[in-house]
Amino acid sequence: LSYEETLRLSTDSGGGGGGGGEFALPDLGLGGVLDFVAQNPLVAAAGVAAVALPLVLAQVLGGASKPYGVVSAAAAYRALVEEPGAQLVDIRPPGDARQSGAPDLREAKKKAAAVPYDGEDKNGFLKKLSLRFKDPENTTLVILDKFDGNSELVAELVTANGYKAAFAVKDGAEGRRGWLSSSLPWTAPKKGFSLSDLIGDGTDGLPVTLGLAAATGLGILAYTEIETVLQFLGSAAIVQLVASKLIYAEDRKRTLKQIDDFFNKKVAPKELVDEIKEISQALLPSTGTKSQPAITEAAPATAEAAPAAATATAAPPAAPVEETSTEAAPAEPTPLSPYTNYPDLKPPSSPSPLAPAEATKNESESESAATESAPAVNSAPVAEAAPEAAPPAAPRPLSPYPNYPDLKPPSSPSPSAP
Amino acid sequence: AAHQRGLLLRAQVSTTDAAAVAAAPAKKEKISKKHDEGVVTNKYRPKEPYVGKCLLNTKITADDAPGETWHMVFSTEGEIPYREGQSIGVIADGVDKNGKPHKLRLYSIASSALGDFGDSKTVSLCVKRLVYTNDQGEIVKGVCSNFLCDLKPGSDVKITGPVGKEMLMPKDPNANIIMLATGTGIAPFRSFLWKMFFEKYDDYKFNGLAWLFLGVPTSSSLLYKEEFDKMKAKAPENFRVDYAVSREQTNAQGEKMYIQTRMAEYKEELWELLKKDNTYVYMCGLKGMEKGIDDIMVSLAAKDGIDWADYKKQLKKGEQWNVEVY
Repeated sequence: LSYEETLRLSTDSGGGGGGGGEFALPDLGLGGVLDFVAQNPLVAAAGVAAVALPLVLAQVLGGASKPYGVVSAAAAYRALVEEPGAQLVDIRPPGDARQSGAPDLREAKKKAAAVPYDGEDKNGFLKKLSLRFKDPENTTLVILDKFDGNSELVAELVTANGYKAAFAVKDGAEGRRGWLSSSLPWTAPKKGFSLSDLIGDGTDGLPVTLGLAAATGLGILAYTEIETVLQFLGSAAIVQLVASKLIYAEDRKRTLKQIDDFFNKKVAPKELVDEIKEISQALLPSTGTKSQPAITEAAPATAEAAPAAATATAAPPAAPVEETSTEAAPAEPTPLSPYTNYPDLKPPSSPSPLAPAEATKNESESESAATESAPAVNSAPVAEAAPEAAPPAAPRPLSPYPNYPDLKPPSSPSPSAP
Repeated sequence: AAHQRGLLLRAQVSTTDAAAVAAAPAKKEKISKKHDEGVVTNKYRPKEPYVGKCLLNTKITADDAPGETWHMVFSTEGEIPYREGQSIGVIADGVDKNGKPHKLRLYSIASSALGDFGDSKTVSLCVKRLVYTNDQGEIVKGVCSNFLCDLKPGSDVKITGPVGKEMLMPKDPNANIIMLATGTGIAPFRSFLWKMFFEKYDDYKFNGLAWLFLGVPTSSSLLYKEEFDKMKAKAPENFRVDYAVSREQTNAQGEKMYIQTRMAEYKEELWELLKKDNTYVYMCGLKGMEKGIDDIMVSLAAKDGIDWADYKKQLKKGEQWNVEVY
């Protein structure tokens, strides 16, 4: 068997390998494979089938002399499915996706990164890209434009800027032989304002998330921005729902825009009203009437209870508790006790307490540093613990955050820069 | 011949990998399969440790469990930029019997890089209170573990590090990751699993298989069990967990259920996984466990005519066999 024959075998058994043969052959060092094939033709058939795809991909993605190029939509899609390091970048202007939809990469378990490219702000584009892909050296980008006007240029741009490789999709999304005409998976544009989009999967931790937002200072921002929405709907559930989306800067603008669209165009009001009702029912019982006043009136009744709880336990950080409650009162849904994730609102007492002298020392120290450590301690909002503190006799949990629905404290879904 | 084919396939795959890498320009040095770019070590050294605050300290074993294990969270203000799988050092307050400051003790980090609160400003540990009787019959309390388990929220704690690269996660989001833990050796794996199943990243979505074996003495000390249940519910396709409770369970032969006993029940499956070059094994816990696990691997490998010691060496070289025992 010659080198070429082996290759043909690969592409054939790979199920019409998608034009792999068109590419310049890299020096793959296939000596071992060849020997093996020569000696064991039968076993080799299976073996070759297993390596055929990677082989073809290596040619498509790594074989060309320059690390960027143009590939057919079908080849691009296959690369996205097969190669963990391949990612799709949608550089169409934002309006396009809304009008005509976007690629559907569920099979690849990936999401297209929408980073519009206007041909002017190259640095801005690269910066946005770098926020999405943290490991450029190992990332191969597949660039999708509406047609292929800018995509090859962008492919060249990104490979010159540290990405492993990049490929423009031939004819882009809507061209003659592009993504759509190749009948590749596609998500049709959303009709108006999709509520399910807003709910996402954060529903569980909503009240908690809100608490975190407030604790980290994002709360003020979130509240001012959603004020109008609040007036409009007057539903605490919706506030929490929206806030969970709004506190993440990236989503905020888009969400607000969606809300805007929704109210201006009044799309499908009846359906939505029903959905909202359902959401309210789902959310309100757990947060109860307690959390609602806490949001609108900035911490009423609970303000007294928490310091009391803290003093009752005689825990050292009584000082931090008071300090944060006064300081953050205007914006926060008042996580007044730092220990809301314990059933009895206090940490379990340690077997050997500190000596009194040491304890006082700790207390004065912690007072000075209280502000810095307080947000994290307090990130558990009262709303969460209040209803759940009731059942006492449950067996001892084996995880540290048993009272959170997700068994974890509210955390932002994406890493925040330190 | 089956294993020969397995090995040969591996060689073939790595050939294509190498070709792909070689085609990318200006990429000469050896590339680690682990998520190690930009990893920070020893930012804080024992002479000038970082002083964090204890934010929370909670016992996570039941009262009838043998020994106490505590979960604690320290503030870092983002100053200790650790990765999943790294460790930090802790220097207990006070002095030893010679009047010198206590020595540093290393603990595997139990939280993901984002920390339990998701703000990259905390680090969590999982610490067992060490109490034992020495040769003279005196009860000895481990200095650092008791210092940590007794910490009150608000108190200061001296932290060094981060350290360690052995236990960093694989880059490949589709990898098979086999995690073997005894007791508080669960810490790095809680860190892994939070990243995989509790967090969302634009550039990381785990879609391989995470398979955790956890060995503990009693079911009252199944650390973080509720969290793992939750993960299992969230990602049943991607997460498996098997517990070995040595004092309460036995195998079919009536032998105590240690971690290697549990693993033996899945030996065929484990061996098949181990033959794949995107399978990574991580082990963390008491020193003794490595021997027990080696024992079952020897017999597995022997069935295919492979010498386990050699094979393990090869896996280690490929960063697929990673051990942190103490």
